[in-house]
Amino acid sequence: MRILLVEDELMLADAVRDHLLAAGEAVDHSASVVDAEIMLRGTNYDVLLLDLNLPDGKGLDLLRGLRRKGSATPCIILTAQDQISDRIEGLNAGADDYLVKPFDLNELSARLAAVSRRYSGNPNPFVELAGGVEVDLAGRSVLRDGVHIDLTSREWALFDQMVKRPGQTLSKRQLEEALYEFGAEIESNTVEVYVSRLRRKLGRDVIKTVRGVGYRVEG
Amino acid sequence: MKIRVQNSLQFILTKRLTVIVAVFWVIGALFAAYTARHEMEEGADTALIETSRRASTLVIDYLENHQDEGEIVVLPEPGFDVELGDDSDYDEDFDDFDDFMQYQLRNADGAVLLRSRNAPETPFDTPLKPGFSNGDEVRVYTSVTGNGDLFMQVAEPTEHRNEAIIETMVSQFTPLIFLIPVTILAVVYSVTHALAPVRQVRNEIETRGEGNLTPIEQDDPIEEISTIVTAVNRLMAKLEAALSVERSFTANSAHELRTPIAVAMAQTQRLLAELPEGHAARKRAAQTEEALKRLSRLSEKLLQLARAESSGGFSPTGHNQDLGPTLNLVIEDIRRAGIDGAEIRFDTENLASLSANIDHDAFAICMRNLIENALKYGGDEEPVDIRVAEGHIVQVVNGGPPVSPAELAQLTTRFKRSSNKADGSGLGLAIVEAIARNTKAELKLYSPRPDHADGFMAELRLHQS
Repeated sequence: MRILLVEDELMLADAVRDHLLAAGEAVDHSASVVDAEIMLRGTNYDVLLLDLNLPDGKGLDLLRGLRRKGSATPCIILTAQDQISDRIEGLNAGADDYLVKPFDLNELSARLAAVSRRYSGNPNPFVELAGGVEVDLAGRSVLRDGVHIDLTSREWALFDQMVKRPGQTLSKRQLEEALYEFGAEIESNTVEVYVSRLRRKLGRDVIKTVRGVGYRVEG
Repeated sequence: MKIRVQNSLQFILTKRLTVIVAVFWVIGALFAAYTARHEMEEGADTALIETSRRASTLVIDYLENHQDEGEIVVLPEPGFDVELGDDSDYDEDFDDFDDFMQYQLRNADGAVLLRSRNAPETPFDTPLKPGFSNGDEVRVYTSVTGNGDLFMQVAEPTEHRNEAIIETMVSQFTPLIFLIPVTILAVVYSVTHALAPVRQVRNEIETRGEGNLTPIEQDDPIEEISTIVTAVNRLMAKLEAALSVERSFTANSAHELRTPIAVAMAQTQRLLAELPEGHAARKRAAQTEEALKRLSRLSEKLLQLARAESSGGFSPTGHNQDLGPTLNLVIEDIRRAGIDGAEIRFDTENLASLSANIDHDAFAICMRNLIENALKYGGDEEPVDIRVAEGHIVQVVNGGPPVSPAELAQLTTRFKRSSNKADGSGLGLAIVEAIARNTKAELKLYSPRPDHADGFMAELRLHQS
């Protein structure tokens, strides 16, 4: 997933970004509303993690602006304001979830996964694929014929994108976006390399190549 | 608040005005009666003198013409010698009217020489002394006539004179008997009418909720009332400002405190994740993480308690508000946070009817604490039941061993934990109790829970207005 983290407390942002990177997500960080707006214009993010009190404005105003422009990017608010009225205001402004500081980083991952699943149209975290492969999106585990298969973070990032949209063909460009951090170098055959590694681990039937278009998994 | 009728301004004003008016009327009437009586006495006395003067010459003349030795001459009354026809309009009142004046002409020895028809044959029981004198039943005017050896006495029965005075008094006081009740009604009407602005302000204050600190409005300001209302409005504005400062202070403190804890916790979790398995520092990092989690929970509870004790907690409109969605959100939140404990069983049957005069945030804090408590201290086997009753009562029921009555009474004391598990802050029920106290709600704790031999039930009876 490609995530934009908007948080002005740098030490917190640092820990959150490291945690998400370690989990194989691509994370961009912005410490202000203005920077966040510029980044949102340039890239399609899968999830927005938004602090409410930012030095140059309110996170909720940024979110309202996005929703007014028709953006449906899922958003999780990270805030120190714990009152139920703050939460109601956040949800009314178009937030999908609300996490009160201090939060557990694993809790953040679980919420991210849940929001992202809701947006992919399949809120069920258990997906069965061809070739006896079972995936638990929430638990980030893959079983092949009942045997647990270990995936690296980047392998998971790529596979996760396809499993969330079973039957849908994803372009090489879409898969690249999910794979890389903002600004990271990409090589022309990186997606092919990871797809072939996944096929080795999960069997040839799971990921289909759609010639000239991209790849898809069958549900 | 029920105010006794005797203490109402309307009652006091009506009572005092009525009593004052009635007393002054009675005093005025008595004074008038006294004056009237005096004037009537004077008039009647003058009539006696005049009668005496006019009649004496005629009487002496009549006596000279009709005197018989030893006999008392009786003076005929005017009109008695006249023959009256059947169709005559003879006035009996005239007879009555004329009948009361009695004359006696007496010599110096006191013997009666002549008398009027209505006068007694015996002499009046008054001395033969010129001027007025009072007998037992008559008032008499005596004048010297003839050659100074005769005494003309004109008498008026005291009864007749008193009767006239009593009739005058009665005719003067009778209207008062009717006028005083009419005056009371008029006073009641006037006072009620004049106090209408006071009542309007009273109703306005009475119907608003305790949390409503908006200015009192007046349709038709009267100087005295508007001064009070302006002062009250100024006071409420100051109170509102003070409360708002306090609220923003606690909100800011929450923010300022939470952010550094969040940083410390996230960094510690990263440290824990980045340390290789089996590293000596992992244990310390894990303990730091645990301590930070406890610090986070404790700071949250302390801030909730500060909020609960500082601000009113009533609905900002001062009226009941719909609390169903808030309860739903709190439960959804707790479920999602995955707090350890039993399953939550939420009976949404009466949820739509839940409404009370309490702020959403205060209500959410109460429910969060009650549910967290139930999850923490209830057994894992039985679900935590949450249900709404009568539109303003929320019950949170859990299983687990019963709490002794002595312990139950102590549970709302700060930092008092139920003995079976000790990882709570010991503030949850104290927070709920503080909010309940501020919002006229009532927190009732039962253990064992109703219809069971074990378990615990917390019942929050919210205030409706």
